[in-house]
Order: sequence, then C-alpha cells, then structure tokens
Amino acid sequence: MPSLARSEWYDLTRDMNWTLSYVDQEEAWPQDLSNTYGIPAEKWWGWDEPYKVTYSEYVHNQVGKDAGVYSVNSVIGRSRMFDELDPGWKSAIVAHYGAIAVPEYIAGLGESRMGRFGRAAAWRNMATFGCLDETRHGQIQTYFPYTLLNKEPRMDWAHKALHTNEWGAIAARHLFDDMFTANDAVSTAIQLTFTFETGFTNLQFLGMAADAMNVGDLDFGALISSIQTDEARHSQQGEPTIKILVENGQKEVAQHLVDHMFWRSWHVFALLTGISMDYYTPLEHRTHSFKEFMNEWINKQFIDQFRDFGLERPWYWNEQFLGELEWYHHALHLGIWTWRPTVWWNPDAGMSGAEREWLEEKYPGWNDSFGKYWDVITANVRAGKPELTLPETFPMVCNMCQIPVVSPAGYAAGFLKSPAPLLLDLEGRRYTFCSEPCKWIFEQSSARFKGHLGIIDRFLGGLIQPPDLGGALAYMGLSPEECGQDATNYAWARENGKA
Amino acid sequence: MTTNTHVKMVGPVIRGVDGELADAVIEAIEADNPGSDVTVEDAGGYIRIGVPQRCRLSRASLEDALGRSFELSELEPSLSAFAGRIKVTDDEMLWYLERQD
Repeated sequence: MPSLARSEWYDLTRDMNWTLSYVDQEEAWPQDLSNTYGIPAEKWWGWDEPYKVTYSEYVHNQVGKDAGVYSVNSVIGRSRMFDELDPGWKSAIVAHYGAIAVPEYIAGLGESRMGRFGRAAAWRNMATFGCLDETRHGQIQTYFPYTLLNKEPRMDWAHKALHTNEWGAIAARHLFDDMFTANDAVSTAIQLTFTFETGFTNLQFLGMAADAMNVGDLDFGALISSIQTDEARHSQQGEPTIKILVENGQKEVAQHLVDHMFWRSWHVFALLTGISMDYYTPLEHRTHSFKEFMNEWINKQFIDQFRDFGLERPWYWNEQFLGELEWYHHALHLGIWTWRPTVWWNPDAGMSGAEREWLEEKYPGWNDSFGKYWDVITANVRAGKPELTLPETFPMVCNMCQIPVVSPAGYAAGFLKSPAPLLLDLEGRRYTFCSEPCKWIFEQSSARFKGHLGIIDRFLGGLIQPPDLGGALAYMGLSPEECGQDATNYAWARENGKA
Repeated sequence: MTTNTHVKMVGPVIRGVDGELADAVIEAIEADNPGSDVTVEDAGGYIRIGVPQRCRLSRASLEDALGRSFELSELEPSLSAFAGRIKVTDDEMLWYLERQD
C-alpha cells in the first residue's frame, strides 16, 4: 500500500501538460479531431475530473468486476435459466446484444480519440480508462451471447448486426458514427460521455437491470449493472469539458451539442428500451413503465445535473419531447411488430387483455388510440389470417434518425398537428424527416448528413434488388430463418379471446 | 431547498446484486447526513439512495457500518450510477447540486 494519500500525488502524476516547441498546436491537435471552440490551450489544462481513479485502483477494480460477472455467467450457463425465460424477454435480450455489443467497440474509438486528442493530460488519462472500459463492454457483450448460441442461434447478431444493412443497424451506425466515430474529442466528451452515458444509457442498462432481476435473468442483470459502473466513472469526462466551455464564453456550443445528441439518443432509446420495457418484458415483472423510468433517469436525474452547469432544457422540450414521451414508442412498437420480418429478434405483441389494461393505466387514452389498431390486428389473427398483419411495402424512413416515420400514428392519437412528414429540398434532393428536431439537427449540419442514403433511398435508387420485400430482406442480411416472427406465435390473441 | 419545483435528490445508485454493501452505504449515509431525509428505493436490479441536494458518504462511517477497513475507491464495482454531481476525496464522496431553481 502506498504511504502517501492519493490526493498528495494524484495531480502530479496526471498533469503532463507542456508547451509544444517542435510542432505547433494545430499539428498535434488538429481542429477536426479536437475542436477548441477558440479556447486557448492553457485554459484546457484546468480540466479536472470529478471522479478520480488511479491506474492501480483501476486494474484492481476491473479485474474484480470481470471475475464477478463471468463467474455468474459460468454458473448460470450450466442451468436451465435461459430456457425458462419468457419469449418476450428473450427478444429484448437478442435486440439488446445486436444493437449494443459492437457499438461498445465503436465507443472505444471515441474514447481513444479523446485519449489522444483530449486537450488536457488529465482528460487523456480518464479517456484511456474509458477506452479500456468500452473494450471490456464489447468483449463481454459478445461473449455472453456466444455462450447462448446453442439455445438461441440469433444471439450471433450480437456480432453480426452492425456489419449488416438491416435498417436498425443502419440507424445505429448513423447515430454512433455521428456521436463517436466521426466526432472530434471535445464534442465527443459532451455528446457521448455526458448526454448519452450520463443520461440515456442508464435507461437501458439500469432500467433493464431492474426488470432483469424480477424476470429472473441474473446473468443479464449482473452484466449490464456491472457495465454501468464503468460508465458512471468515465461519463464524468463531460462535466469538466462543459465547465471549460461555459467559463470561456462557449455555453451556447455546449448547449447545442447537448440539444443535438439528446434528441438522437431519445429516438434510439425509445425504440430499443421503450418497446422492451412496455411490451416485451413479462407483465408481472415490469417494475415501472418506460415513461416512469424516463421520468426518473432523464427528466429528473439527468436534467437536474445538466441544468446545474447553467445549461437549459433543449428548445424542443415541452412540445416535441414531452409530447413524444406519450406516444412515440407505442407507434414504433406497432410498426416494428408489423414489419417483424425486418428485425433480428421476435417482436412480442404483448397484447393480452391484462397487458392492454396495464398500458391504459400507464398511458391513459392508449386503448382509444393505439388499441384500435391492435383490435384490427387481433381480429385478423383470430380469424386465422395472420398474413393480413404482415407488410407488403415499406414505411418512409427519417433521413436524420433513420427510424421509420410514424407521425401518422402520433397524429391519430392526438399528439401532432399533422400526420405528414417534414420535407427539405436541398441541392436537388428531397429529404424526409419524422419530427421538427430531426429536421433541425440535419439543417444545423447539412454538409455532414446530406450524403447519407437511408434504407428507403437505397431501395428507390435501385441499390436493392429485386425491389421487393424478399430482395430487401436479403439486402438486410436476414435469411428466412432469421427474420423476426411473433414471439409467442400469437398466444396473446388466443388469451384475449378467452377473456 | 428548492421552491416550487421538485426536490432535487442526489446520491448513489448501488447494484442490486451487492445488497450487503448497499445496506452499509445506507447506514453510513444516514450517519453522515444528520437531519436530512434519506430515501431508499430498491428497484431490484439497483438500489437508489437519495438525500435532498447534498449527500455525504465518508470512509469512516462506511467502515463503521461494514465493520472492516474499506477504501472508497473499492465502491466503484458496486456504484452503477449516481444522481447529482460527484466529488471524490481521500476520505469522502460527495454528491451535490448547486443550482436552486
């Protein structure tokens, strides 16, 4: 054990900043990789992380974390626990691994960029730990599903998904390239570590951990709650970065970066976490609704923290964000269940009588809005015509979030003024958006986003052949065996019939 | 204390699989924040401990509650998240928020 207290040597060993003489600042820290926003180098040296860890503490803790989680996995792997899990819950897990595992590696690129191009040695030190953290998350979340391959072959989408052109994978890549891969170090600290990790990852990794323990999925619960202990530390790179921007008159830059990434994060988590919590998790094990988790983790915890830095809620907070909180993920669920062959998991309709009652209780008015669509679907299933519940064509997809445009359902439910998508004509091309904030994000950085082809652009542009559902599924990497089906083979409709 | 908005709660969120440690953290936080209303929400997968606006956790109180020596850096494997801003010194962790509105 060292005889000095950590505080007596920590700053000295960490602060390796000096004035460059052999190269200039721009050569060592190019703006493209590390935007200073006009703040001089020496000001950045005041960067001071609030959550400190030394290298020896780091490796000691990490080895213990892995030993704990892998031993749970090893014991449970010999049990029948996974076989006995609810089919809807299994779908949530298969969706999670496909959407998250490889992006963890990608997040490692964002961390390593800060580890090299962060503008203070203290920051580069924290980001190096962050890079090791994300490497751990990528490894552990490809290994756990690997151990389940003999029970669920689609667990290989943990590794496969992000390497395909499946539409959800395109949406995930678009988001993560914007946030980590194609982002400069300063913006990454605010968008990845602060907005995404201090805010939204808690929803999926702790909200789902809460449900996992109730469902009896100790494996997943232990895994994701352990991952989040790394996030709790390295997400603290956001605070000192915001402080420096604010102290140096660049508060608007910080606000803009948060406004941009908060909305993008909201959309992807409404898709992944919203549906998992409110439809796939077995009713008897739901601890809270998605909206209640959002209120706890985002609307209170995250907002309190980021307002503490002098920032304000994004401009779209009241009208667009709080509005969508009531309806957006319900509309996505309806769409994803309908277009179920296009996803790598088995969407669980979750439409038994008791589940519908729960939805109406948590989201008053649900029966009169979304319930009506499900009435028609249920009638078709009961009439022995499930083929009528399947799609023959494609929805429009937003050119910002790359998620299908579901505004007609939001309009029908009374939350939007118009069912029409928003359009933008730019340099001879027409772009389609699902919402005002998505259009705003695009317009703020149109040079950055205008070249991307969404899945529907590719379809209409002749890149997907033959131009039908079969051709599109093949383009998305989905063999017939991999295409999603109803998770319970329509058991919910039969149960409904009896009720 | 806040005026017309909600009470801002700050404090640690401990992994649900580390129940024993969570109990000790609760006991220590109660000792370290006299006069404050400590709330505990057990969500199964995580245990949220909250104190209005400012939450102290000292190494000494945590060691008393655990009955053994414990360095604060050893809390990390169980600390899944926290509400508020954090400040870590050799002898205590502090979660806090400054803005009043």
